Amino acid sequence: MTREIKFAQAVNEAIAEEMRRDPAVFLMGEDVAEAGTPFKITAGLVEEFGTDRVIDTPISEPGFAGIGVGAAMTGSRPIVDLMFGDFLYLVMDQICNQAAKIHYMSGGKLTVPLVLRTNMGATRRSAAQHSQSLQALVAHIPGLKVAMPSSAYEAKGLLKTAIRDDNPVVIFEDKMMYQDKAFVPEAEYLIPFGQANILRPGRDITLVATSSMVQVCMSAADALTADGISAEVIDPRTLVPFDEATVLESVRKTSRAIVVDEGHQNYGVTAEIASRISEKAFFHLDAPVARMGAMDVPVPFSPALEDLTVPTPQAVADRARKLCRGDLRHVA
Amino acid sequence: MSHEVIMPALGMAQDTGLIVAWLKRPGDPVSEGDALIEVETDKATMEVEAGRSGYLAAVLAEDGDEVPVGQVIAVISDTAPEAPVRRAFAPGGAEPVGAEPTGVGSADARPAGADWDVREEVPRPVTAREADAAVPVTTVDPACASGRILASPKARRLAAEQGLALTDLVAAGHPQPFHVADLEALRRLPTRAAAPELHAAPRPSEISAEVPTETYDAFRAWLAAEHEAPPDGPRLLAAFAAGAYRAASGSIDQAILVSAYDVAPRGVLRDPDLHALTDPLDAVGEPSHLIVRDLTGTAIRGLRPGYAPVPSLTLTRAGDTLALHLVHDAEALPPEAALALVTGVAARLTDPLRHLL
Repeated sequence: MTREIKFAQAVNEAIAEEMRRDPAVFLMGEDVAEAGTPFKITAGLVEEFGTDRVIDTPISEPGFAGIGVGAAMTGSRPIVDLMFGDFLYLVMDQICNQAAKIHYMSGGKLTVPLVLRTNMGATRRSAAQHSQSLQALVAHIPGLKVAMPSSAYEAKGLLKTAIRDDNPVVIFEDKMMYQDKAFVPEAEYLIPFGQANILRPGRDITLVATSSMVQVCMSAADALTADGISAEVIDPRTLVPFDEATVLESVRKTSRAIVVDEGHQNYGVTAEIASRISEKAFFHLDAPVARMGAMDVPVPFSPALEDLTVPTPQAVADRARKLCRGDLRHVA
Repeated sequence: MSHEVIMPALGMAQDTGLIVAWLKRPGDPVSEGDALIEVETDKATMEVEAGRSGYLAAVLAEDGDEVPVGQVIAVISDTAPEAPVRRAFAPGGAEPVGAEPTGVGSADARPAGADWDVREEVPRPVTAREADAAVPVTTVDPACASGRILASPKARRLAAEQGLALTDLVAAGHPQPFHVADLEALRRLPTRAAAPELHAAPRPSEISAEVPTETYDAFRAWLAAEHEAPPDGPRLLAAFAAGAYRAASGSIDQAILVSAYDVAPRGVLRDPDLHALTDPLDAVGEPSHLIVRDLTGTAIRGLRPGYAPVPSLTLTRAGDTLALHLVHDAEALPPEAALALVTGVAARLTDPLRHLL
């Protein structure tokens, strides 16, 4: 049986199911209990699991992220809720220097089964300090896994896998997607890490899209059919581990690729994926691999300006048409 | 005029706000920035300020009312209301406001839908990914002239695998860079063994010159100061080039047609050198003797145009230097005439008065 539920509810169900299954799992963060987070994601959990397992913390990201790392090292499986992805800067040492390295530095004696749930995504009129998409920061650090759910279905399956993983996992949810609905099975399911999802098969160009950009690329692919261009859309689901094989196989077939991610374009997720394609599918490329990320500016508060900083279906379709026509003026 | 005050969205996932207390009474004068009301959300209690000065003409929600975000909770009028309204919140309260015959003022009936800009509203989040945002594209010809064949890795690999020579496609004048689709054209070419010279693209001759910008800029500044509608760069270059071409080719009495461009075509001008520089010239639709491109107003610092049967003269600017670049077919414009043309235009750029004399 399947039913249509919101992204926020899918996340809520994943946490609840895992907390019922495993008493070692607990949730901690700002406003997670009584308020259910500003996005109303964890509402109702404190009623079922109590304040021992759904813990409201003070405004103290470095503190509770550190508590999470310690709890994970000593047998618990904490889910730490970081209210905005932008607050990652506050927990860099806890996540990148401690959680990511402890398994290695303890010679494999310690594990850190920590999930850091946070978000990304602009166009919510939340200004420069609450709109960033910082997945590239953590994807850069060996020892961390990074998941990027692109729908309610993906969110539930990936979060459950994250909670069961013995490594620290950072999961980025698109804050614009919390109210979006998708069909989600009632029965339990997991989505394994490192297995990309081909949302739409195509012949002429591969669109590799993460999280929020999956919808954008699906719309672009729809628009491209009018031009006789058949686009394949691939959601890698997790940046680390990354399903290189599926992406390369697709590009070898289509011979063109655009990589789209909502993080800043400079030194971003798109750069890494595009570079792998260029290196490993070089002799199959009929056009340069294109990258599309957020404009390299602080996210503006002005709605008119903010909208211009994020790739749109039109912009992606435009770029795809040019690549398919051999119009390379944008790279000259 | 009256201005509606709405329940603002103060939190991230806020659907409603609780009216804690009104800080002004109906009929009170209010100044912009005055705290009107205290509103409690699930995170905090905040004051909502008046966005306009005037009078609190209507209070449409009582203390303790839970009001959905976006609903009208008060009206501020410009004039003192005769009978200020106060009542508890009623969903869809906007209509009763308009129906109030007093206070809000029937004389300044609110034009439906026209008051968006005067509303006090915190913008609600809107998904804007559907918004059209064009990606600017620079327009620079990618074909490089290093002599290296430009082809995609895949086109190169397939050509090698299938024993196709990309040089044949070059010889046929097929535009680069080559993609896989171009291999089809390569397969259709007549037998590749046949006399490659026949397929060789005509080789253009090229001449470059540089002059300082000083006098040219001073001349244009003088034109701009003296004339209401001074000639623009392409018009000026067309005149200089036509004059130099006329002298170089010895065609004193012939009409000289110059096709003028900046980045875009500006039309074919007839005898631009024989008219005053400020005369408006109508573009004619005839094939031209000469193509001129004035790229001084652009970021382009150099270019190497491909072969064209018509001599093509380009002007670019780099710092204090103007660069002239002529590409021509030696058969259409003999080398001596080409040298004289470039020299003549360079002289006119260096000393524009020479053109007028």
